[in-house]
Amino acid sequence: MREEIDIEHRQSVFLAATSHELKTPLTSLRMYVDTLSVREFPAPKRAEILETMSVDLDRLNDLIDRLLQAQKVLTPGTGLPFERTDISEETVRAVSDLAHRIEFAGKHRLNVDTEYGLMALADPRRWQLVVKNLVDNAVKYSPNGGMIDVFLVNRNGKIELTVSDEGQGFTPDEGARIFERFYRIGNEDTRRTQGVGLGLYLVREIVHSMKGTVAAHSQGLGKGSQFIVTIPALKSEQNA
Amino acid sequence: MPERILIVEDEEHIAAGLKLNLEAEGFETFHVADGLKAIAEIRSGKHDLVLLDVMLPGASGFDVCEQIRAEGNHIPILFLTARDSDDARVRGLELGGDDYVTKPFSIRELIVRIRAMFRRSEWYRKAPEQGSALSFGGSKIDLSAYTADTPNGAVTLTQKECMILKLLAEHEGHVVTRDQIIEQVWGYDRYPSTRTIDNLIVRLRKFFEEDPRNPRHLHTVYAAGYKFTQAAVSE
Repeated sequence: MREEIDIEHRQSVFLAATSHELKTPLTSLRMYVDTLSVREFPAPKRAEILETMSVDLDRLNDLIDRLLQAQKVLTPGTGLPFERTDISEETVRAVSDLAHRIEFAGKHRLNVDTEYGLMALADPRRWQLVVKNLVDNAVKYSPNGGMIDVFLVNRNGKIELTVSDEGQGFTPDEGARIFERFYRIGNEDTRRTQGVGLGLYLVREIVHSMKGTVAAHSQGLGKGSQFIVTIPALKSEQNA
Repeated sequence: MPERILIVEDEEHIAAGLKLNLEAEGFETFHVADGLKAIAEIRSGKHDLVLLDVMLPGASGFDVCEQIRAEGNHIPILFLTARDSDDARVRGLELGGDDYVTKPFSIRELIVRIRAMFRRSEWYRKAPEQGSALSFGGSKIDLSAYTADTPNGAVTLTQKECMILKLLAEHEGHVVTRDQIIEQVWGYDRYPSTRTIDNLIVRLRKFFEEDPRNPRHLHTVYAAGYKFTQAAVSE
């Protein structure tokens, strides 16, 4: 019963957060459309406003994409069958997709170190989603910037992905709930970040479907965080 | 000297758009993105009005408003938020917000509302023609300090109670409708209900009427509104 009330509460928080996330770029867009329709600006200022509007449109598009992706991942039978996948290659590809945006923002440094040719049975797009959500999470929870490390190694026959940041970290209580659906650190009035509370939940669901595990560690608030995903590697003869 | 507006908003694009438009309208602006910094800025006394988001890092906009009002600070506060439920709106206004605008908003409408708030704030500050002291029925009310000496002792009034008295006193001997009170004292149309006004009048009668059930100064005019008479008049 208590669990039902809890999920109901988190669903309402999710709706509030989604509505807020959609309305924020919409508010900005509406304001700048109004502004451009009634005020004259020199060309450089006008270009700057249009660039701002373009970023808002991207943000809106990105959020809608993520909600649709979540819907797909969470609907049984919609994923591709698992196939032999070069996890090293897919990891580098996923990080490269994000690197431009992260480096453009100029706050974070990305350090990527992957062992070459690690193979596993996986859906490549979903593995990329795992990597992207973890890196996005690291960016989001280190608003003051810093180093984000992505390591991929073979450890005792298992592939281990570690994503760590130097950001806000979390308390043990928060860490215990961090992979729950719609869970977000802080409350809805004093949110520390953008987001709707789906990213890490999706990571856990995808990793579990690959018979893997995921864990989160932090030394405490302000001390950064570390996420470790482990999935079974294909054995060396299968790797050949 | 331009009026100074404190923008409390953690979304940089929205804050920049507000700044751009408000400065083009002749206001001076200052921006913070955090609830705790907002409290410190408001306490500094450098600002004339606050545009306050609700979902903020540090402290929520609701917490900021509650804290500031608890300190007796009456700076006009306009909530500017994506929280559009009736509950959130009522909460914001009950905590002492003066207006509540939901996102996305029309920037032109927002500017009209800000100007109306400044006009109202000016009226709040302006002493009535007869001075800021109002005396009737053995009570003496200080309309600037929101305090009163009554035959039953000293009383501290809320800002809204004081402004209702001020409005009635400005129209001494004439009927003031409930809508006039809402328009002049609150300035927006969805809150409070006219019942809230009636309740506040009942409260004022308890402070200032010898027999609140048979008021001789704060009269109800059936189906019209209220009338204040300085001299005692039986209904």
